Amino acid sequence: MRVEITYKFVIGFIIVIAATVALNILLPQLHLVPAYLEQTLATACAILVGLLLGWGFSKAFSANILVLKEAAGRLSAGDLSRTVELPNNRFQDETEELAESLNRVVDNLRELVGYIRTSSTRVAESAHGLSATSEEMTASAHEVAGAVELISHGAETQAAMTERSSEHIRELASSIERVAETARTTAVSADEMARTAQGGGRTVAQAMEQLARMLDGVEQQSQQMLTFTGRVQKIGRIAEFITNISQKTNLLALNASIEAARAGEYGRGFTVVAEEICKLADSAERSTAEITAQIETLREESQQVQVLLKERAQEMTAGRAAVDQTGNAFREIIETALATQERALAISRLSSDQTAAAGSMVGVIEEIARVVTENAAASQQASAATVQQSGSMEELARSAQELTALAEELMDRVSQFRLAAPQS
Amino acid sequence: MSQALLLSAGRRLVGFELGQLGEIVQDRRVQALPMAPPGFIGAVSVQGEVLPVIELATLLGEQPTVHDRRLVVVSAPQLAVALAVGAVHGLCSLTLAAQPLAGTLAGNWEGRVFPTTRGIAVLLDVARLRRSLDECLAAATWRGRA
Amino acid sequence: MTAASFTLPPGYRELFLSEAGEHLNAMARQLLVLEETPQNLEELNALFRAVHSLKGMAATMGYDRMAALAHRLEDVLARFRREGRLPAAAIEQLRAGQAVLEKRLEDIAAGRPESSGEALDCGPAAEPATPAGRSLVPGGGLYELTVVPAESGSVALSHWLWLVNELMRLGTLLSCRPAPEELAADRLPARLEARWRCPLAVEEATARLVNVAGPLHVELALTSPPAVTLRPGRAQEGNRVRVSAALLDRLVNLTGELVTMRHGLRTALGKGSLEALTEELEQFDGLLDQLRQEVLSARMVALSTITERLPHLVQSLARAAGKHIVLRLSGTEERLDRAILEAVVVPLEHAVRNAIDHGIESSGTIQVRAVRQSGQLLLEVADDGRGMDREAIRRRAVADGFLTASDAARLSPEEALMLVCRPGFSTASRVTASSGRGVGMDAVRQGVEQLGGHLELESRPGAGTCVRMVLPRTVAIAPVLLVSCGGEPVGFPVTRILSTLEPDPGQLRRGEAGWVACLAEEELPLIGLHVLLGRPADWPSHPAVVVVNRHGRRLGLVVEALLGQQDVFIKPLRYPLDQLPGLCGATQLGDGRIAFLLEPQTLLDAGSGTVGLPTRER
Repeated sequence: MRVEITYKFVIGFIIVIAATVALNILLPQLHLVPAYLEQTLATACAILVGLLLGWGFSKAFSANILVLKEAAGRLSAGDLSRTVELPNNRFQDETEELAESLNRVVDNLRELVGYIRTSSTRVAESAHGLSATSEEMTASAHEVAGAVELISHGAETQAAMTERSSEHIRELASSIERVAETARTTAVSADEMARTAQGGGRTVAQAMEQLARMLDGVEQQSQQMLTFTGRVQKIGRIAEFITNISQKTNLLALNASIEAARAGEYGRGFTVVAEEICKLADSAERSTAEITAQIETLREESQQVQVLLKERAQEMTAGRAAVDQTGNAFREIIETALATQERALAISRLSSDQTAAAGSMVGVIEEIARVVTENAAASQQASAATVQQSGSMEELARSAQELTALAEELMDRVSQFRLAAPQS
Repeated sequence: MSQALLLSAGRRLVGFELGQLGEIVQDRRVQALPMAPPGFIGAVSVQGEVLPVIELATLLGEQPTVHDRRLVVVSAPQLAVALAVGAVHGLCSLTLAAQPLAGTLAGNWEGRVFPTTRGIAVLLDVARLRRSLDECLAAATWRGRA
Repeated sequence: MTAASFTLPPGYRELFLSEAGEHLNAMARQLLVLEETPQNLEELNALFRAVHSLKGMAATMGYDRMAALAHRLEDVLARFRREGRLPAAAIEQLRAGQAVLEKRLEDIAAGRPESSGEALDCGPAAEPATPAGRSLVPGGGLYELTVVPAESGSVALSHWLWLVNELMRLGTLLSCRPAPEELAADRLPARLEARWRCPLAVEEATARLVNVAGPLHVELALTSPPAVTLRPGRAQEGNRVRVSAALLDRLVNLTGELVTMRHGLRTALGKGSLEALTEELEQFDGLLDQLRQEVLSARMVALSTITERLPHLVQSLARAAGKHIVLRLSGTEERLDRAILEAVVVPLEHAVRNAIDHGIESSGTIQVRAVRQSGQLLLEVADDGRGMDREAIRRRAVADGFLTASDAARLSPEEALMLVCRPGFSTASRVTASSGRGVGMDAVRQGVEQLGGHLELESRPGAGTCVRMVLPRTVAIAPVLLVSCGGEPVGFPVTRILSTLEPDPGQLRRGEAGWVACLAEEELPLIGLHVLLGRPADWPSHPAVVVVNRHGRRLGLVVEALLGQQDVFIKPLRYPLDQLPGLCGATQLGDGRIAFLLEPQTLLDAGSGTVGLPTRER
């Protein structure tokens, strides 16, 4: 309930008078005090009520004023973070209204400062970006200037180097000429050597052919000897077979004789026959035994012959190996000579090609030298232009730096306002 | 003039009358013979008949030598055996000179001897063989102790 | 041999020998009947016909002496035929004549000249000139020899040696004084005495000995008992069997089929078709089986061929011993393999002889019975004489050192009786007196066992003796258990084994008397067969056992492996293999190997000397 300050005072006053009146009436009725004191007591009570009311009222009033004062102080310090809040009062008065208008001011201010702050931040950022870019550009311009300077320097050395190379190449061409000359002579002598070696090779081949023929002869002989031994052995087997047969015949004849003897008179004639068969088988066995013995000696002899033949064959094989080696050596020499000739010819061919190549190389180098000199002049011009450009670049960088400083200052200022309650 | 088969048994030369022989066989498998007395070296099958193989040398009291591959089959009513001999030499004629040896030479119980190209041979026959076998069988351990 | 015999092909001679033998057998039979019933005209006629046929045959063959003798006998018979009865004297004469004819036939069979001994050239009442004991000897016997120099003074050693040699060649010298070895040592004897067994008749033996005797004088005397021998019918002589024409036809047919079969086999082989070949082979098997059976049946001969001469033998022996003996025959129609029949002759004769000589005292009956029992034939010779006293046998055996008294006491009654069959036991002269039995029982037993049979004796004092020969009916094919011993196969006739075992190694234990197999129902003593056979082999690691019977006790023979039972063709063994104890035959297996067949009981008896047999008899 809103009660203006003025009314508050009036009400207080009325209350005091009412109290004096009431007491004056009441007290005599109550007979609490003697009549003489009734007046005084009434007065005293009225004064007390007036005092109590006055104290309470002024206390509430001064408290509101203190709050307002504090808020104004904060505002002047730039603290926009807090609103003004009065202690709760049942009977609001004009201080309330004052506090509300103060709060509205704070709100408006807060909005304004916030806006400024964001803008200044953006400005500072842009200024920073600008100064960074301009610095980079300055650096690049410097580099370009350096590079161009280097190019112009390089072009000069290049020209000198090209001069020197063309000189060297000319020297090379002349030495190549000399190599080709030597290679040609080498090819001629290698050709001669190959021809001689071929002659030697033919002689060796003839010798070898003769040797091989002889060796073949020996081999054939020993082969024949082997066949012969095989035949002898076959005969031996046949003899064995015959021996076996004659033994069997002998057994048969013996059994026939026995059979004949058992047959008595009837077998008499047969006994004679069986005996004859027996004798025949015996003589056959004897003859085959002789044959076997003969074969044995034959086998031994042929074995000896074979051993001899084998020895000869071995010797000849050794000779053949030696001749083979010589032939191989000749063949190698021929091959080497031919290869040398070929290679020498190839070298001389190559070196004439190289001489021609060296000549054209000199031409090319000279062309290069001319181009290089032109390059050097152009690069010097480029260098001067570059230096100029880098100067303007530096200026740009400077103004960007200044802008940055301004933006920072603004930021500082704006940051003096406290917009929100400090984060506790 | 009859004939004999000339054999070697140990160091002795023996003639066997031809008429008492069965046949001569070669390379037969000789199998073990149960209860064989000494001299009986196995059994062999000849023409379906099972015959003992007897070492002639042992039977004649000689030291046996290497055997011939051939076995001499004696086949008579009294006995049928295959003789393992040192060698089979062949046939020889029994001359009339087949005579008993006189005096001390006859120490060893063969009555008749006869000359051959290989030396003096003793004539053997089935009866003599049977006698030796009888002795051999009588001397066998199982007979002696049983 | 007369020249005429060569003019006929040998086949006729064989036929003649066979038929003449039958006629002679018939003669002997008919004479026996006529002895009992002299007026039996039917038999008389039959006898006449037999003699007549004999005469004709002999004349055709050119055996003149035989024909002549038959002719004379025929004359005698013709006379009595007219009279209608045959007197005893004539019977004796005819019997002697028959014996001579038999001997001549034997000579002819052996290729000898017909023997002399023309004893019957004289009149009907005349006694034979030669003593009966001699003329009745067809095959020699035991001789006693005395040799002295014909003139006083010594005779060269070679003559002695030659004579002894000849004696050995012709027969067996049982004893000789001085011994041949002493003679060989060049000690000249003044006199030589010898006991000599020789198959030759006394005349021939004398003639042969005189040939070699030279200056020595040889005296020869026959000592063996009258040697009327019980020979199988003449049909068996010379290994000959009469075959019926029907059987021959069947054989020819079978052979023809086999020939056809051969073509079939060739064709199947040519086509290379295994199926066709198998089929043909099966048919071939069937034919072969049939052929085998036919041939085997051809080998079977009735027992009567040997028993029909038994009455004759019994009568002569009884007469010689002065006893009255009745012979009863039964079951003689049973048929036996020819080889067995031949071999059973000697044991049968021995048994009968024993019964007459020692069994029956003065008069009694001898029964010869043949009973077929499964695959075997029981041939019994029973007498109703005094029997054998087991106690006496036991005492005798102990006294002669055959076994100890305690061993003897432990013998079963059968085992005690079998003691008389021990070689050497029965020859002791006192045995005959105490046991009432004896000579030659070892020979009987050996003969029977060689056939693969065995001998059983039954006897009680006062109640007679029965000798029972248990014989296989055929030797040719019999079931045999093949086992491996020492790496080679041997066989046991299945009839001779009780069972086979393949015990776990854990069941075998070495007891104090050797190895035993601990079976659920008994402890079976074991013997390694390789030890018995003397083969170098180890005790098998996984042994198989053949359980056999040894005189009523079970015994296990340890072998390497049982190879299985097989019907095999058993080959009889000849001398000298038949002398090896325990062998009762041999057979050739499919792979050509020989497997010897063992008779366990004989084998063990022989082996008891060589190995430590757990025997209680010794």
